[in-house]
Formats: sequence, C-alpha cells, structure tokens
Amino acid sequence: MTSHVDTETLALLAEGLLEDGEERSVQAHVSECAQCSDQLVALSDVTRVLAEVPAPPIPDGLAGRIDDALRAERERQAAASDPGDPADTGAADSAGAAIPIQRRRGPSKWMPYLVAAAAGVFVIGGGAAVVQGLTASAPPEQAGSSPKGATGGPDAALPYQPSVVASGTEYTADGLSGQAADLIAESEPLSASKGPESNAEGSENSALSAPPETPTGVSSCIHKLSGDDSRRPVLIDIASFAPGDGAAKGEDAWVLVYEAKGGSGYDVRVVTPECTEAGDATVAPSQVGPGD
Amino acid sequence: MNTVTDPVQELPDKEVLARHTQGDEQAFGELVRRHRERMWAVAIRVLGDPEEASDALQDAFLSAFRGAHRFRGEAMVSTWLHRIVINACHDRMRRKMVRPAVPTDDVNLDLLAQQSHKGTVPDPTGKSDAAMDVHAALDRLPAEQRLALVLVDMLGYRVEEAAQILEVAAGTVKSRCARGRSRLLPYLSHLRNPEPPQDVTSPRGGGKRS
Ligand SMILES: [Zn+2]
Repeated sequence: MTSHVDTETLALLAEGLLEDGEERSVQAHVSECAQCSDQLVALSDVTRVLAEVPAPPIPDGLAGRIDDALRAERERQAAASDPGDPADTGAADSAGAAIPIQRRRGPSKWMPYLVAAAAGVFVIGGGAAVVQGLTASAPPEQAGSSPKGATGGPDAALPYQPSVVASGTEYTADGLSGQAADLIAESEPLSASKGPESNAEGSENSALSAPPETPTGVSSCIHKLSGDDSRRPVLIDIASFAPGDGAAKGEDAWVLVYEAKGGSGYDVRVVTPECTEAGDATVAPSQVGPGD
Repeated sequence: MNTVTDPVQELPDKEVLARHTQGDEQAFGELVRRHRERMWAVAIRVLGDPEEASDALQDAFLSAFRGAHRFRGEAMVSTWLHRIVINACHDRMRRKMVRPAVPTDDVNLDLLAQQSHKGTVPDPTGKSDAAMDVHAALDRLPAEQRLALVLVDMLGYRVEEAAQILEVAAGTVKSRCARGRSRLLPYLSHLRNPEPPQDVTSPRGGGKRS
C-alpha cells in the first residue's frame, strides 16, 4: 500500500520546493488520493484563515506615547552631547527655554522642560540636608482659584531654570518643611539663577557628569497636579518620603518645590511615582535665610 | 536655507530620514506618522497581545531613531523599519520564552480560563475566537516560521518583500511558510468550516526538520 504524503511535504509541494523526482511521485499520489488532496486544500485554507484574522486597531494613546518617548530620547541625546561645558551653557539654556514653547500638546510640553533642567543639573551632596525640626503648620496654598502667578503661563519665557536633584534625603511628614528649606537653601539661588552657569564655579559642578535620571512620569505628573495653576516647580528632588510616624520606611517620592504665590517662600508637594500626593508643606522665606 | 522651506511632509522617506540624521527635529515624527499604522499591524500580528505589541512598537521606533545613521540607502525605509519592528518583536518573544509559561497578569489568566473552558487548543473542535486560536497556534511555531507566515499569509506581502525584510532568500521564506502551515494545520483546521474536520491522517505537525 502506498503511504500517504505527510503534511509538510504537501506544503512544500504547494510552494514548488520539492525536487523534481519527489515532486512527480508526490503529485502522482495526490492526484489519486482524495485524502491527500483534501489535505492540500486544507493547507491553502491555513493561509486563508491567517489572512482573515482580525487585528485590533492601534490603541488610543500609543501614537502619543511613542512621540513622547522620542521627544525624551531627543532631549536625552541633546543633553548627553552637551556635557556641561560652561562655554556652551548659555546656548543650551536658551535652547532649553525655547523648546517647550513650541509644544502644543498637553503633558508633552513638560518633557523638554524637565529634561533641559536635567541637563543643567547640580547635585546636592547626599545626606547634606539636616532636619531642622521645624514643623510645618501653615496649610498649603491651594492652587487653581487664584489668578495666575507672576511667572505667567507655561509658554511664557522661563524666568528661572528648574533643577532636578537626587539629594538622598528621606523626607518625613513632620520634617518636610525643614528638610525642604534645607534643600532650597542648598540650592539657592533658585529663581535668581540664570541656569547652569551660576553653578559653573561651584564644587557641585563635578556631579554634572552623572545627572540623576529624571524618572519617567515626573513631567506628566507635574502637569496633572498643576491643574489650572500655571506654576511649575523650581526644584525637584528625586528622593524618598516616609509619611507615617517614623516607623514606616521611606518610599520613593518626588519632592516638588514651587515658588509660593506672591513670590514669598515656597510651597512643597510630595508625590509618589504613581503621582499620588503624599504630603505637602510650606516654607517661609525666613527658613531659607536672606537668600538673594 | 531654502531646503528648510521644503515641508518635510512632502519629501520621500529617505530624505526625511536624512533630515533626521542631520538634526531636523520634525523629520522623525513624520516618518512615525507615515509608518506607525503599518508597523502596528506587523507587531500586533507577531505578538498577538496589544500591550506587548505597543511596547515593541515603541522600542522599535526608539531604536530606529537612534540607529538612523546606520540605515543603508539601498533598502527602502519601510523595509528597514519592518526589520526593526520585527527584531523588537523577536526580542519580546524570546523574553517571553525565557520566562516560565506561567501567566503573569489577569489578561493572560482570563485567556487561559476561556481556552480551558472551550478546550480549544488541545482539542480543536469547539467554536471559539479565531484570533485567539490562531495566536495560540502561532505560539507553537519556531519564531522564523511565525515571522514568515505573519508577513506572507497574514499581511499578504509578496515572498520577495518578506525575504528582503527578513534578509533571507525567497526560497527560505517559502519553506518557512510551508513548514509553518503544516504545523499550524492541526490547530486551525476547525476554523476552515463549520463541520468538524474529517478524520485525516494524523498530521505530522511536529516539524521533523525545523
Ligand atoms: Zn494519500
């Protein structure tokens, strides 16, 4: 009895991939064997079934996500190719200020803003901040209801260069105000800063080679938090925060320092990487010294 | 500076890519706009899972963005992009295989639950979601067969196009497709028509030569 042709050989036959001799003998069998010729038809149906499989459309938001990722990459490359040469910082500074203005889409405009900030980062020595024991009692100023601050809308020329740092501080709910005050004091001048060149002579500049990586999500989170408020943080510390009574271990958190409305003191907000607000405080001007 | 006045939208792919390598910040976005739907179609069919396909697509565009200077002018930009997307998908397939085949999220659990209720994969007689069955079946193929079938059978590319994308000979694409189809047949025959499949010779889907 002639054995049937295996499926793979039939599939190769259909593609014309068998050698002449084998092709002839297989062809001869198939022409007389209903089972094998059925199988040949079944193989062509595999192609039809595959062709008919529906595919879901491109998900909403994926295009925007890709654009954001590319924009971040572009800024990262720009930052990497400009390793803080003081002669170049002026140009990098103005470029950093110019880019966000051209972005129209929501959270996107924050991305270059932040990455430009990262390019001119100065790192505060880890653990340098000292808890002063000051307890914040003033409620945070609520955003959204008051008229726009003097800093203007997001598209206005930036009067300051924000800074992204990773101080290594573990912030606590009770110590937040004082810890933030230290952070701000160490980072002065904030609003007076023209950007990286202000620090070009400082010893902190040696840390430029390893700027903290701005975690993904910071920019969109800031945008989400800001609501109608046009203010943006002047300082961002990628740190940790222990919200509880001191027993709980610190969790990753971002400490966002805003200039207070009216230009006196600072508002501090702590958010988790999930963009949940974990704490807030205010810092009075007296806490950070005479400053500028 | 009069080249700057050329709207990048009106340039052919290759020139847009060249603009990108010269530092034009708008250029790459234009390429993405032109090709992302098609590249999505590739990624979702290779990977089956929208989350994975989304990640792969993002990875792919990022590596194209970074590697644009490596583009060799003799290929078409779209061929080059296909290659990058397929590589990104391939990376994810490999990673998935390295991980134990234990479902790691609710979606997978749901899929498995549905499949076990219907008994579709081991016993192809129940009526079930064709797309799911196909992807479950494709999962059983060696990657090279799966990629060839995605391009040729699912997306309808000519063998020569697929061969360029996969950087193999046309005959290789044909044989990968043929072997892939023969392996898939036992898992997909129930999708051909409403009747249960005839009692055919036990198919040798085991891929004796893969
Ligand atoms: Zn036969």
